[in-house]
Amino acid sequence: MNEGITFQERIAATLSEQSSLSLAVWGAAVVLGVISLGYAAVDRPGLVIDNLIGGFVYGMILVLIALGLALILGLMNVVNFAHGALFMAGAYIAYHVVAVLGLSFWVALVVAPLAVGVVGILMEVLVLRRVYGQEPIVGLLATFGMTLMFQEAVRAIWGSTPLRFDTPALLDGPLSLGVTSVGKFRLFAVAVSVIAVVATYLIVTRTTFGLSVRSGVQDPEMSEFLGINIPLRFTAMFFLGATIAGLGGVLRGAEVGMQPDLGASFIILTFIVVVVGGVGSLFGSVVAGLLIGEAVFLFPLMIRAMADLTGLEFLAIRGIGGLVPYLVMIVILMVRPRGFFGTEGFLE
Amino acid sequence: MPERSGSRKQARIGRRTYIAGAGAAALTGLSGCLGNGEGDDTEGSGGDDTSGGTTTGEAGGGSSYKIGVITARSGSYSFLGEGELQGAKLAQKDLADEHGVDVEIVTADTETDPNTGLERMKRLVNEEEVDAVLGGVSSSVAIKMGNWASDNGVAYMAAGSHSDQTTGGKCAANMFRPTCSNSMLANALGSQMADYADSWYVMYADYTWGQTGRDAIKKSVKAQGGEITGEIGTPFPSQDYTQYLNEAANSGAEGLAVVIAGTDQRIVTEQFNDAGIDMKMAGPLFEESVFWGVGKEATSNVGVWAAPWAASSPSTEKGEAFKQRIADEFDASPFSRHYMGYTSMEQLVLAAERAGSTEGAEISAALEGHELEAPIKDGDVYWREGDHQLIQPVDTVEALPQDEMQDDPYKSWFKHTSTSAGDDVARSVADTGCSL
Repeated sequence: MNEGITFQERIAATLSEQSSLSLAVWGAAVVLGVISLGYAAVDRPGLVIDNLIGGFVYGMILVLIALGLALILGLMNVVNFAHGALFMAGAYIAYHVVAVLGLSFWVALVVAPLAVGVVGILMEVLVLRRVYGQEPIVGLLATFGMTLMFQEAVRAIWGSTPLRFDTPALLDGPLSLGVTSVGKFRLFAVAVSVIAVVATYLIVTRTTFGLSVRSGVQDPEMSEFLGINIPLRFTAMFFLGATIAGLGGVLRGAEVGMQPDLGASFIILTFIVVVVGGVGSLFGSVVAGLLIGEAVFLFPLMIRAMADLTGLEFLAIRGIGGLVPYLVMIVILMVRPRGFFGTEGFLE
Repeated sequence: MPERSGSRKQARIGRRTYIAGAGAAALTGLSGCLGNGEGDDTEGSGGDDTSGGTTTGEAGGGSSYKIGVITARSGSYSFLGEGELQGAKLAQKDLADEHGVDVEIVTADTETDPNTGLERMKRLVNEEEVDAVLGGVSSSVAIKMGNWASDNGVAYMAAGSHSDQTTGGKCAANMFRPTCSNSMLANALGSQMADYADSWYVMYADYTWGQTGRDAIKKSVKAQGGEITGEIGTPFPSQDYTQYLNEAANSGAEGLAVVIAGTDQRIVTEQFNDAGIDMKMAGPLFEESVFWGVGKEATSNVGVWAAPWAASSPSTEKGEAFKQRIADEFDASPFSRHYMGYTSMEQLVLAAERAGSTEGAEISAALEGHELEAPIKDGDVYWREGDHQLIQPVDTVEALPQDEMQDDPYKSWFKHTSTSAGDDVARSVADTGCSL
């Protein structure tokens, strides 16, 4: 019976069967998700709206924090573990500007990210130039070492007691959105995130500078042969990534204060955002940040609804919110091993 | 299973002989020269017959001890661990000045991970050869370290562990708790919460301290006629609590009980205020330093809290001086962790002095039932025999209006509202589940 079927045809048939099964499983999961979310929306409409908006805001904050990391990793192939430390430095420098020097928050919002950008230049020139072209682990270890140095420096200068600084009255308190209220400062952070994302995208894709950096990443020899100063452009790009990290730190520090491990608490999450979005894709990081933000806020409601619908109480796992980013990463990487918009061959 | 290293056991032989009265100087030299054959005498004999590793002086004035301070030096609780260390250092100074005892401190970082804490504890005991250990912020970390220490004959003060389990189902022979348990704090706070709001929603950190705190708060509020409308456990640590606050805001409760500590408590408070949630707030673990990171305006709205100790707590003459000395010595404001670190160090070393030994079992015997001669808190303070809880007065505090908050010579932003006697709020030993 099978004599007429070639080996290639058998493989193709098996893959087709598996693909159909996989599609069915994912389809069922999506249907279950929609039903449970719909039930939650009917059962607790106020909470679902609160969490829908809360998830978007949280997602955009994640996007801002991950943006600099995505930029440096995506364009320069450097796994910058010190990104969290730069983020933390932004918060502490802003504290110094506002609480110690007595200047305005608006001054800190400009000065602190630029100062962190300068720190980024020093990092790039003094350390990272020595690891370009080497295995990613080398850059990771170098930046991890710098993270420890930054943390201890912050502890030595500002101490380990939590600190905070005042924000303008304009940004204090909640803003009613009709269906729910959101902290004004969180909305401000969303606005800053949107501006940062758009500006970064335009710099990278629509300017000669961005074009020359991308050409340098793809073929450094040819780019230099054409007269492009690649080291200078890489330094400028690192400055940009560090500045965005500093900006995120200023906003986070202003919202909930700071302590020396501020960066460490976010660094893993930002790596997840970049990996889910696809290494090398700024747009992917935006999509991933928003997806993870919404998932963190909505998934617990969905499993609660599923438990109510089925009567299976064990489905409503308590405190699962912290695991959701990892679950999202597992699911996305199962479907798309390079993330949403990952580039073939990158870091492989 | 006892896991102490062989070299450690060799030192124990020397100490036991020393305790028997053979002469301190000669035995100090002997303990350094004993070979492996001597050490094998205690192999597998369990932990209770061990003693410390490096004490070289005689019992009484002139003794010296090597004490491990193992606490959170990084992570969400690092600033609390720093307070414990500073308190221990102040006690170190007083022990030298007032008792002629020389104490060497060796520090280690538990982070907020039980396995890391245990690994560092083993290193302190087996490699640094400390005589006794104190510290710990996270209860799950402290319990794991304390049980290992007890199994290996080392006295351990779970300086900042508040879970009921620490002196309850997971108590240990050589583990002591110098701060209040969750039950003590919740029982002291319960009547105030019931007066403050009729219904409460409980948000808690989902690990042993938060879980026992949740149970204690629910029981206490219900006993006072209050209503619990719901509860939610949160991952700890967490970067964002908005979704859990949304749940609370949609629960219909009048008040939010926050059983979350450290920098995360600060994030909760900030996000609670920023979201304009119209609920009252209370909590069973007041850590004043948390609110310094929140600012005066937000702090003035945080409601009522139970405090292991606070700058506004009624104190003895020694306690009042203690507040000022923390400010002078460390350029810091005194808060609960200073009290815990100080009491832990003082009590460990003075118990070793009374026992004439650094053996865990001997220190335990010297602590059990002992009433503190010079406590920081004003009231009866003693070590309960059945569960190793330091029975002590429990205070509640309430935020002051912004213009009444004190910043100089140290920060004190809360006013004292009540004190409950320790015996009135602590569970009975039979109820703790501890069987020592």
